[in-house]
Amino acid sequence: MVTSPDIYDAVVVDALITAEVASRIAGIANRGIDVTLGPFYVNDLPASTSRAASLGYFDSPTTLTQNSYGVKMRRAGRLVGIMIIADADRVSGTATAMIRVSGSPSTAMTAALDGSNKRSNSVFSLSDGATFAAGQFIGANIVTADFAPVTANAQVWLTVRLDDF
Amino acid sequence: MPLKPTLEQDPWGATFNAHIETSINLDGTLKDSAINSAATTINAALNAKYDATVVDGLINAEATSRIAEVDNRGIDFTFGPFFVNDVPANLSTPAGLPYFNTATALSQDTTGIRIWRAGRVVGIVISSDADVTAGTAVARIRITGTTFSALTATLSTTNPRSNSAFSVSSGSTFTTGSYIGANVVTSSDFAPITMNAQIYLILRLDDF
Repeated sequence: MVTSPDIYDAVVVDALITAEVASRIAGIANRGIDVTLGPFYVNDLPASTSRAASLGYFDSPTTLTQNSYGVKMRRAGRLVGIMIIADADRVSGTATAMIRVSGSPSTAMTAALDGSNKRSNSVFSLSDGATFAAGQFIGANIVTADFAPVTANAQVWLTVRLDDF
Repeated sequence: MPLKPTLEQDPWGATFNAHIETSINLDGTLKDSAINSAATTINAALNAKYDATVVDGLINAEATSRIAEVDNRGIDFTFGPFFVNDVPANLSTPAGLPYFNTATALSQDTTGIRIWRAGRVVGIVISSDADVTAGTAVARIRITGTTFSALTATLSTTNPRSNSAFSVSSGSTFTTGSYIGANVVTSSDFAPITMNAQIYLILRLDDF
């Protein structure tokens, strides 16, 4: 008498699926965290410069100060989103926001104020942004070229995706 | 009647079901030999299609496809705080982002930020520096100048200082290139009007 082999047994197939799904679910549960840092500020954007953008701090109950020291990220990751917004329309030139990794600006993924996006711009990608290692300091830079008005104030936001756990 | 084994196809193209049409002789010989022979043929076909390796491969392919969807999931990000100082009664007030106007002095601007990817608001948070004593103050998303009430967070005497709402499905959606901001909408009896508020928006961009 010929019988079906055990490999067709529903229990066997079910076990295969269960093991695989459990493995994949664990991968989903341990996915990397999306973190948004900011706003990083630059007041009175200079016409042509590369300037570190700063975080704001209360240095008294009512007054603020700025500091451009980066945020130390104790987990590796990648830039997946960058946004720039200003409180005045760009009239000429460009102001380009970029990530700064341990002091070095990266042009791998940037968002610029220009003739097409005069007040605000953003870029998102899961693969184009700069990566960083655990322990590096993350900040933002704005690079201007023939930019006007120089009275415009800007802020930058960075969204990073940390590596899966 | 001749022996007639047939095979049906499942949606993946794998053979999975066998039917055997036969006739049974009175002496039973055809039944035993023909059915066993047909079963051998069919099982050989099944072996080729439903080998454990094949099944495992199918599962792996499906799982790999699904995990790619997870890897390519849309970005979640929190945007804010947007501020309204001295929240007025009976008004819809755009909340402003703060800017350093000098090295130490601030100003506000209510122009929304342009988001070059479609998405949905999945969370909204409002917090204040004083308790609501009357009426309501409702935080809403503003999309290219229009406020939406699909997902809101309300300050009232029930939640006088802070409130939030989260949903992955009921929040307003926005298209790529939209300007995103926040508003506070108050009732005519809202108090105190010296209250200062801030709003956070949590956005989920579409999958890549």
